[in-house]
Amino acid sequence: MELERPEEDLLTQRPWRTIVWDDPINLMSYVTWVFQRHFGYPREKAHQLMLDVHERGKAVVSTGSRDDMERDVSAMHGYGLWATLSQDSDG
Amino acid sequence: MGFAPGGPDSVLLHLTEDEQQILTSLLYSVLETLAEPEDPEGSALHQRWFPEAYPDDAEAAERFREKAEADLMQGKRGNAAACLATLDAAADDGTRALDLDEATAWALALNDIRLALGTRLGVGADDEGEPLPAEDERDPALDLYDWLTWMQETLVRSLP
Repeated sequence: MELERPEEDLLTQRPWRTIVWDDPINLMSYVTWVFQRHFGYPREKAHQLMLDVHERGKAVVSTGSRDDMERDVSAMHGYGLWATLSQDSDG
Repeated sequence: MGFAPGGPDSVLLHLTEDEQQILTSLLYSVLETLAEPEDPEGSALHQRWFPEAYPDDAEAAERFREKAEADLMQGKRGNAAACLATLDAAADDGTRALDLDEATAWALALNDIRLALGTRLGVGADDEGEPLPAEDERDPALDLYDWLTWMQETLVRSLP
């Protein structure tokens, strides 16, 4: 039972998204490793997400409740990745 | 010298004395910058080390910062300290087998150092296609940055 669910979720039911943005300093191999390590993604998926970040400028790396996405964003910041969270469909 | 695969649960660190000194000094400057930021809040490095979680919502961004920034700072401090401890514990020949926690601390701390140096040097995505400046015009800090990049790359490749 989730009594403290943020009201935005109740009103819209739209999930929150963790977005990672392209950065000229973070290494491609490192970003792939971070996605594997934190999210437990298989290597191929982590690599594809890294390529999306690099080539399209950003990628949605996880979706879920606001609290969970704040945790993911904090974790990405801990790894030095440039991450934000948003509820908009285009991030 | 640098990092090499060490087995299922470890990574080998092997540094010359010069390399150990350079890394020790860089790790201490991370700790100093965290303790007494040279730049005011809002500086390029502060924005890069502590990014805005909500770029379009100042109130939510501030709330997030209040919750997360102290932990983030503590994490950076802990990683730098863990790396310094492995340098202290390295054998006389500059080698040390890192366990996975130590190797992870190195990956993150090298990233923090590269973010700090890269931000100061203005490293940008647009630089990739540009010709390199002549040897004598090159900022020596760029060589240091390239070496740190190579070190981090070999570490990530060496992680089991």
